[in-house]
Amino acid sequence: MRKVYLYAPPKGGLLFSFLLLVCCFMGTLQAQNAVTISGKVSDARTGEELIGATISIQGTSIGAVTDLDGRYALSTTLGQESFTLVVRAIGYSSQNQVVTLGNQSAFTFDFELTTDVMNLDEVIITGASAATSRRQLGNAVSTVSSRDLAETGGIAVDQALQGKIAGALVQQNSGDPAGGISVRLRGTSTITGSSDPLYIIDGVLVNNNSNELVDIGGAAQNRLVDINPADIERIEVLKGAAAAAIYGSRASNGVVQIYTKRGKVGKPRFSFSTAVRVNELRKQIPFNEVPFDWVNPGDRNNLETFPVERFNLQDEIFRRAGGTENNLSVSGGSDKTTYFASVSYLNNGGIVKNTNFERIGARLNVDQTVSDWLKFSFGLNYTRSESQDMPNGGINAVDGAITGFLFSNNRVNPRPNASGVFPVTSLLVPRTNPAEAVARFDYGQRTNRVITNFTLNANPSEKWNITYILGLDYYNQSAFGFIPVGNTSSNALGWATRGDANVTQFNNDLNISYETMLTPAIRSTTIAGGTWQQDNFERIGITSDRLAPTVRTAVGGTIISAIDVRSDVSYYGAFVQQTFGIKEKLFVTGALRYDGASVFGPEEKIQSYGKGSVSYNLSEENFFKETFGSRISNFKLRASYGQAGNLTAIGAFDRFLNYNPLAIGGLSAVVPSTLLGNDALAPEIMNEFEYGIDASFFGDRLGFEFTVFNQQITDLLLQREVATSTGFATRFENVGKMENRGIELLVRANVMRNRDFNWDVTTTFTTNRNEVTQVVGDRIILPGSFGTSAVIEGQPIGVFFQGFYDRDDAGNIRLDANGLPRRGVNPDGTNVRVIGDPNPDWFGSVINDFSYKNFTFRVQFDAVWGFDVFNWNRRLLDNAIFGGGENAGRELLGEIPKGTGGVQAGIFEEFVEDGSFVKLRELAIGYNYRPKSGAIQNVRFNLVGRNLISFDSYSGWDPEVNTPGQSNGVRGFDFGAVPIPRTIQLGVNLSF
Amino acid sequence: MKIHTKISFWGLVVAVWMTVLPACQTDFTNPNAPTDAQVLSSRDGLLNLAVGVRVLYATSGVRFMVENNAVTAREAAITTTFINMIELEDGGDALTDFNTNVEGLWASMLRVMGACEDIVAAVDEVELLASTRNNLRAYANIFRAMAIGALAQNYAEVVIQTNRQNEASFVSRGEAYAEAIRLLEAALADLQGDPSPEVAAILQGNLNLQDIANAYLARFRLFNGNYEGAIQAAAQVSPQRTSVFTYDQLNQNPIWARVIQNNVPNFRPIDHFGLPEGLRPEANDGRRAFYLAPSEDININGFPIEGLRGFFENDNSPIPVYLPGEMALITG
Repeated sequence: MRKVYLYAPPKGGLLFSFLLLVCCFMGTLQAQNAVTISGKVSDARTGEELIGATISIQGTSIGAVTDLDGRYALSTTLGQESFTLVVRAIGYSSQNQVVTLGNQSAFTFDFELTTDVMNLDEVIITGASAATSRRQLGNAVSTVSSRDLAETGGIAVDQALQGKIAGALVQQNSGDPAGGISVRLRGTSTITGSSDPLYIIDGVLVNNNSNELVDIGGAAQNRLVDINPADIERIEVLKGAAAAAIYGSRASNGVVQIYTKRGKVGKPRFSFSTAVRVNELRKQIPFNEVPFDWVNPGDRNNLETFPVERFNLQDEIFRRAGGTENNLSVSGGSDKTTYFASVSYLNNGGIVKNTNFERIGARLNVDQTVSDWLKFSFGLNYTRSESQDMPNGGINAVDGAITGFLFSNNRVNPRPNASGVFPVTSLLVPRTNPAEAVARFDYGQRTNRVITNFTLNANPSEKWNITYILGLDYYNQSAFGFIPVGNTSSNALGWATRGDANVTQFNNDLNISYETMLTPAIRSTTIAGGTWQQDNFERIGITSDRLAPTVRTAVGGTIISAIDVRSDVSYYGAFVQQTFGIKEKLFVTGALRYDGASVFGPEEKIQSYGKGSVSYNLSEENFFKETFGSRISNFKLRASYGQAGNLTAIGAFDRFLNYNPLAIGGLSAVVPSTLLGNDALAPEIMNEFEYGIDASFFGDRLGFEFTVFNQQITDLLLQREVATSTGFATRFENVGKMENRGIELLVRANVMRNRDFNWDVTTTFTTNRNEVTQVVGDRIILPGSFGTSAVIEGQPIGVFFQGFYDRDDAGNIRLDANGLPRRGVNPDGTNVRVIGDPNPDWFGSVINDFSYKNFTFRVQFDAVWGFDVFNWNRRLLDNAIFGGGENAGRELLGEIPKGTGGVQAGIFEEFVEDGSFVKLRELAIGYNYRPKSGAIQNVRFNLVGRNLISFDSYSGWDPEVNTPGQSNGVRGFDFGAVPIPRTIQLGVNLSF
Repeated sequence: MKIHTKISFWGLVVAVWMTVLPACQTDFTNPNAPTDAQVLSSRDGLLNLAVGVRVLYATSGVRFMVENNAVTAREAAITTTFINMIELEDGGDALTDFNTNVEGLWASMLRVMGACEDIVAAVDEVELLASTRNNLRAYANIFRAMAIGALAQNYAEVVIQTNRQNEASFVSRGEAYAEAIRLLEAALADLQGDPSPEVAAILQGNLNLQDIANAYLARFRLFNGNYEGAIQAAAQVSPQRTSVFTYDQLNQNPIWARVIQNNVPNFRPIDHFGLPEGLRPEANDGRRAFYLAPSEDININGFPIEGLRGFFENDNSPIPVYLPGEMALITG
């Protein structure tokens, strides 16, 4: 029977007409008699029931999910004679079952799924709106499941991703207990902005700023640290522009989509985990242990010495620190309502004394079915992150523990005298006695954050899927710093600061997809969407010095600086994407997006981005099956092209010529900014080509994913130096070009499997060559690099551009009559050149997963190879005028001429070291115990180690860190950075 | 019932869109800072910019003028390991064109010039009292001349007019002084009439524009070989008055900030002002006790250094725009 619907007359407006059009399509539905299908899904190898497997009717959105016993049931009124059931489960190959309707109204189908090594059938949601199997995609998408994120020893999502994804270089920049992390998907893609990807959690665009509200020497937390990895179900990583194109102006660094855990139908299921951990310094570095010192360290000709006692100042700074982690979650629900709720607590002690990180979080995800075609879900996540910090490094601020160590002569006993006064250990310049820094400095920050999502999902017919997401991310981050009156630092009279940031991000997305069979062989999926996003950033801060004694607040002294900055940015856009699937073999996709952002000039506000991709499953062809079918189970060729934008390089008002306000002596004043305005600014544009092969062999037991990518980034926004004769210093212009070319390889192998034993090996390997292909002017010296990191045409970003050794024709360092080296001079008379490159030649990882009965064992090695680190630490330690380093001791012993370190300090090349390392990143041993009876279903014990061993030739503590934190271009920069600790964690998980 | 729920889905979507839409803004005004259009089109904007020009000259400008000359002339020696300071003390080939100090002096003077040119161009476009227009133009031209003169004192060829299209041309040192002299003469002419109450308000009694114009006129005429003119101008400067740049805790005395602040000096004066034997002031010369605090310290490169006093003892110590003694030397 045909139903007739009546609608209210249109009230005008395009939206309503559009809605009506949509509704008219819905009106053509036909009703049929109900058919029910039920059964069970299990693992073909172990026979274990699979929970959460999806069973759906192909070409529609009708489906069901298996329960705790692996059972499913679904009913349909579909008006077709026959249809195909598709069964999918994460980590398993999908299976199809054709169902032909006769008079029968109830069917039972049981499925036994085999593991899918290459995840070819995995359902990908990101970048498509409608769920798509990986098979259909023309671009590489990496996925990480909750299983991969558990037992890593990492405390943050990005940290836990280290080594898990081909093409993603995940670098922890600091060993602080919430040390910042940089993620580079296929390399750096901007010079001025940020190359970190766009993070989306359950549809909410989340902020991942590295706000440096109080300068702690360069390092900063990135705010992804507020997210508890234990809440995450899966992560999809879109590395290339093709995948990211439909995310528009914010997506050229790739997109990381995070999905949190959701409730499943059934009685409440509790999960509790608790762990204790120990963090410790992996190794100490050698220091000056020579029992005498120079009478006059600055005079090379005066070799007079006197006896001293030497101290190991590292003992004053570092400690072994403990930590705990507890997670409690409950999930369950009825047919209509499911929920997931969790609370968590993390305490992570830092290896630098007086540092710590604490995170308390709660999450609630509710999914409600309103009717057979309408669902909504609501998610709420509250986090309070609190850290005790210790300044280290010294990109700008120079007060810090490790900073003090670098400048200190370790012949001074650092312990305080009887009245508690710490002695000056840095004899030449006022730098803090490290023992005093850790004892008396008080730095910290606190973030209160709420992330909320509200999602409506409608399936008005089997062909339509409409999703509306409202996302809100808000946090207040509040930081303080305090140096008490009377101390050895450069702020001897006391110093206090307070800085707050209020950050709000808001997104509002409507996506509509329509899937239909155009002919029996051609399936068409159309997706159209629109977005409205607004970001608000407010920052306020005051700093004072000359404090009154005992006062710790920033108004307790003379206010030396105060800031209040506010900005708003809005983004808006719409896209349409069309996919044709031909005989489930060939998939062709094209998309177009228009995007606007308030930061750009009036003529450049609206930008368009396009993408196109092809995926061809050769192994579905009969000739292929006949020829190779027995050995090659899957073979897919893919190619894609896409564009995406980046606008992180400029702030909300950088296109204007702004005048900075100030006040003096009761008068208001304005001073022109050194940044000249430019009304023609546009986003940076990435064009990327990507080609790849996905293949699996021997019944899916060996598989690989191989991708070649070529990113051409144009219109790079450079804060270009303008001639100072303009009266200004810089101006943003879209003038730079850059490229990333490389390959990604992922190999997965199931080496051995039987009923009791399973051995999987996963290997990733990535090469990338970044090259700046155009900068205007000779070079750009990146700020915050002590004039050392440069952007030079024809070179990778951030090469070290500094003084070098004078060498003979054979390349040996020439020594002068005193046996000292000299700084070289180029033929053109200049004395600087490229002396190092912080970008790795390649990186990769090898993960071995073993399971034997109830035991599991995982070991992961990460390698980052062929990159240089500038060891600024040694530039100070080795210099006799400071005197704390090992080589300063060798000068005392006469092994090298006095003054060598001082001369080298002016040559720089000496301190460029190979940073290549292989780290034993993760080692996890687990034991599962299933009590036969009782409330407890499963107990799991685990022992996890992280960053246990590093194989490297670096002379400092750790070649992986980067003092300027998440800096985009200044990398490989070790100046008093906190090394990444070795972590050992012992935990137990209970399910009941 | 289906019809009801269907409408309610769109009802929900529309309801949310409606709540959100009023917030949909695609253009935002900068709450942090005014733009050029706002500053250069109003009386307040121009007066504020005039104060800003002075702060710029008196802070970063004075910093580089004193620091660069003191270190390169060996009046002072560095006490840090920052590369810009090391290069400055090493001098010669080690001192690169992109050294922060070399660039800093050049750039800060051109910023002052650019802003002054904007004021001079804008005074005729904004409704102002005639005296305010004249005095503001004079004020801007004086700072412009001081900036040009500072460039000429430090660089062989300089720019005397900024150009945003990057088409500025260089002139010789002599031509630069000539332009500075022309601007100062024009300023003195503009100062002939009634004083402007609005400009007087921003001078706060600390700066006497006639004296400053005449003092710099005397200096630049001297440099350009016009000794008679120099003496004439110097004689016009009242020895009873001083003109000073004032500072406060947020706009600190730049030399204090570089030498005294937090006891973290970047450089310190060399013993006897770095002068060789024979040229040194006598032991009881008052300038020694005024400028120097005795110290036995030696810097990284072995120079004997003293503590700094003079006009730099506190963050808000005023620095004179010119020394009256200089006028006395010119007039003889």
